[in-house]
Amino acid sequence: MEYEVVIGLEIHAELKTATKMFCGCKNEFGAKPNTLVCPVCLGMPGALPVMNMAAVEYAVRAGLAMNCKISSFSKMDRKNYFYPDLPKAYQISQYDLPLCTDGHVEIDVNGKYKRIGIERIHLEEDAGKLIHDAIDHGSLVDYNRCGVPLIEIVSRPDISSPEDARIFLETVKTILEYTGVSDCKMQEGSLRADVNLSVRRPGEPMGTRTEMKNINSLHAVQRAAQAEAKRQAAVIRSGGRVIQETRRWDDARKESFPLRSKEEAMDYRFMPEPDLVPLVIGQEWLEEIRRSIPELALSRVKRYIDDLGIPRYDAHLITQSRFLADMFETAAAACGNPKLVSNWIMTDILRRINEDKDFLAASGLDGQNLGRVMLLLDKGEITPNSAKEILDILAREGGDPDAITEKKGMRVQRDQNLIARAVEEVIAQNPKAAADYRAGKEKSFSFLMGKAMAALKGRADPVQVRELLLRRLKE
Amino acid sequence: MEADRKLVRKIAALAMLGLSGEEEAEFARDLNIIMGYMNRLAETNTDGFEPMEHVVPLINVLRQDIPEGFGDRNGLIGCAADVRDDCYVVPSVVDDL
Amino acid sequence: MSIQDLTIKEASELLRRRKVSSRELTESALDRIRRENGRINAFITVCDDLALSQADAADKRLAGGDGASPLCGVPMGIKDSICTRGVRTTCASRMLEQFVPPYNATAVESLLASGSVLLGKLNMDEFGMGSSSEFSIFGSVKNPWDTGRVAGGSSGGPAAAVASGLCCFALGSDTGGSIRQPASFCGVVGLKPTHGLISRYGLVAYAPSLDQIGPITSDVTDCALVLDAIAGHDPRDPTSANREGEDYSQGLNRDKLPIRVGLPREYFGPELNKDVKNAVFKAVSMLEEAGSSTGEVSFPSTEHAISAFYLISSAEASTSLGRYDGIRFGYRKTGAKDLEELYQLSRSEGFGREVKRRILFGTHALSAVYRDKLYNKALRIRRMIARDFSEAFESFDVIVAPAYPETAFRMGEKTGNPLKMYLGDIYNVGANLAGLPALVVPCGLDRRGLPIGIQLIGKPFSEKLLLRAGYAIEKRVGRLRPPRAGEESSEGG
Repeated sequence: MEYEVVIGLEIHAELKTATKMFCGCKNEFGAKPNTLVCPVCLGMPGALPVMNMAAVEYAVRAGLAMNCKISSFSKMDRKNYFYPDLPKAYQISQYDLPLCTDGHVEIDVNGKYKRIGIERIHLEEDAGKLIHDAIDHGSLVDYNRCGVPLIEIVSRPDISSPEDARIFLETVKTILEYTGVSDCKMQEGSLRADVNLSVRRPGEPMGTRTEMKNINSLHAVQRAAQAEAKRQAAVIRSGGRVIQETRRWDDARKESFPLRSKEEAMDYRFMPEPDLVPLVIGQEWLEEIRRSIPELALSRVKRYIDDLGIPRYDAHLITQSRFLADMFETAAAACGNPKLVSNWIMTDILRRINEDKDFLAASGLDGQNLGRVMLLLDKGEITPNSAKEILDILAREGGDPDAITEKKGMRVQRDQNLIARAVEEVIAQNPKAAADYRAGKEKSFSFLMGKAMAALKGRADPVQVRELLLRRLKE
Repeated sequence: MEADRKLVRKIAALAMLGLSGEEEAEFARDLNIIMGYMNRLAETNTDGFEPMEHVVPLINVLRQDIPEGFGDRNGLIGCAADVRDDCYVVPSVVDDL
Repeated sequence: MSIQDLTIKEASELLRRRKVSSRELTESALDRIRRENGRINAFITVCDDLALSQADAADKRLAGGDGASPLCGVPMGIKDSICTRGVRTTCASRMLEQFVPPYNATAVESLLASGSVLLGKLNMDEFGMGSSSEFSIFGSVKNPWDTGRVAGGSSGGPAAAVASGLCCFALGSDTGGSIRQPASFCGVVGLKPTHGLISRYGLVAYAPSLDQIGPITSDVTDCALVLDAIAGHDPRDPTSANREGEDYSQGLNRDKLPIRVGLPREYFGPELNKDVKNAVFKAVSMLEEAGSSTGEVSFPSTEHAISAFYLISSAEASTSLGRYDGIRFGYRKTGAKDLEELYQLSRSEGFGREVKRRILFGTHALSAVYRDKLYNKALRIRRMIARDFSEAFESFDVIVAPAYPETAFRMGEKTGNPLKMYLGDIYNVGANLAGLPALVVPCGLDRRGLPIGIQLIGKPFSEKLLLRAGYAIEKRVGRLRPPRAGEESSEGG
């Protein structure tokens, strides 16, 4: 491509607190309109905001997880503008003293590690929701979401391709999920991204950038960036100039449109919030928050690849959710064969999760019992079919893998005599098939093998059965 | 004078105040007088004085993350002039954010 | 039984001794409001039924021996910028003419819990913006000493109501002198407490970093009694001070008051009316009589105080009043064709002229181009002013100031000239900018017979000391009462 792309993302993530940022109203999605409201979040006269400690801690946690400096002194500001979803006509946000600055996030682009700078992370409140098509000649406003705590993560323009933009957002999403800061449900709007993008010829200074707002899926970010890079390159190629503007990405039409540009640039008239006092994060508090951060996904990916020999692709899939990664690690430790466990997660467990995204949360399966099933399998105590069956039972009702194995009689049959007897019976009952095989018809062997395994109820070691069957047929 | 009126129009737009011509003229005059008086501020040396936004020496006034609902929802919604389906009504807005 | 001359303390004693019931006091007050309010225009809303039921509840408590608070059963009025659940709270604005809050201000909650009876809501300058209580959609408040003159503002209603005996005490609010100046004009006691001593929850914001609720009472003892009830930490106000409670009403009367009193040179310049100056000096000599020493101090930043105050207060107001958009509460223009029109017309028709003036001025001060030059500069001046005070407090316990350069002025005298109106606040805005407590106590009359107040400014949380000093002056001046010509003829003396 003759143009380089320069991308920066602004990511808004709703924090997973129990209550809103400045009042005790519940932070919940999907409640009936205007049921989670009070004088504070409706901006009623005389009501005052009181900051939620958890919101501060979550924001700091996100900052630490993204290698930021945590400001020892920070404050809240009013950002003033009129819109029906903003009851006070100002958003309580952070202007010149954000909570977190100067961090970075490492991303893995097909095995190549890149570092994306984080300029700042600040704390602010979400707005309400406008409902457009419910009534004629008007819009409705629901303030349930109003005042839900948000962090805004502003990256540096370090992203050099639409794919990297998607991977960066995915990485940030995983970090926020691992740290428990946000549930990152993009379809519910709890994670959304603005894409700032410009193009330039290699070696030239930065081009004029445009901003695309509120994109709410990982792939839409990549598609929007691709389309915008193409559009800007075309504008320049045809001798035009890219103008600095805000655009709306329509993911269905795969196109972006310029938004009505205001005559004057927005003047937010920032002012320190007089109702709230400054935040001072001391060393002790900071360390306490630091201790609450688990090992993050990319660190685990590297460890799985280097120490456990797991393929990169598998390592990424397994670490996509902290719950699954924790499960893998517990199971791998219990079984001693991480590769076997990862193979089973990649096939069996992920299939179950794909069928039902809440599968893990609802099932009786956990790292411990998965590990023990894998151990039985690894030692040849059960067959793969039995393993699957035990996992089904565990998923349904939980239980002890060894007890299930015994109760169901699933332990693999190793008695040479018993297997020999079964093989002889099968040959005796199917003389035609045996004769066909001996006459060189290979296909008949599979038939006889199937019969023998069925006679053993599938619980014999197939290798052993195969060996005995071959020997008898050749006699 | 025209410059003052232009400024007043610009500020009024930011503050979402619709002004009559007469108000515009009056506020332009007042702004001119008041700003004239306050010009002296600019000449004052304030080096070494940090902006003082708060008089209370407090930090970290925080609340626990525990839900506490407001009982009187009807009392809240009842304050609005136009409510339909438990929602506040505004003229149609094109979502341009 | 008339409450017109009863202090809280007197009323409380009568109530406890069952010489009078709260219902009798309340009925008498309501009756008096019916007769007198037309002349003074102090009350915007009178809640007869609610008041009587509260009085009955108070009588029950008193009868049960549960009269712990001296405020139990005592009728009060509340400035209409302070939210009262179920009772409309208008801020004297068309914008909130129909607004009935479903919540109480914390200070109101405390007073109701102690058994005070809410007679109604008191008139003021719209949203607290004014110094004469003429900027009210309900009409001007008249000064009980001379109804051709203003009661002061913005808490003109509370001051006039207490001065004319329409209620035993009142709550006002003070952003730049709004309790103290009307108290001075009406000859009553008014306290602007330390910022953070009283919860601001439920006080309709004008300029949050300056606003403070405070008592307006007939005397210093009453002021302390009300303060006892409303001071204290409130988890709903993050700027509220979390400190040990104090008993303000105990030990006010000291034989000896050996305090150091500072007189700022800049507060006694040529703009100060002679009668006011003399009365204040006389009051200072009374403090000396009680054992205090006096010295001169200089506040060089005084010349910038008005500019800094109006920049900061208007800037805060411009954002604090953004919420009045016609959507969730307040005046809404019907038939607006689009959103912008809804905003512009609701706001321009809902707000009065002075409010609009300050919103515009504050918007200007915060706009990107001017923020550093105006708003941030004002915040630096504010620190200078605060430093002037804290340096003075190294040598003095109390700073003395007039409450206003003159006594109550005539109706309409300043409404046409905003700057002139603003300049009068010169002695008052310092305490708000620095967050300090300031008490105004009547200290004499001018040659026209209008009351004069002296202002005592103290270190943060030195309310008790201010009340003691105020008490020492009050003891020597005596209580001032407005002539009650109309009253005398109707009651036959």
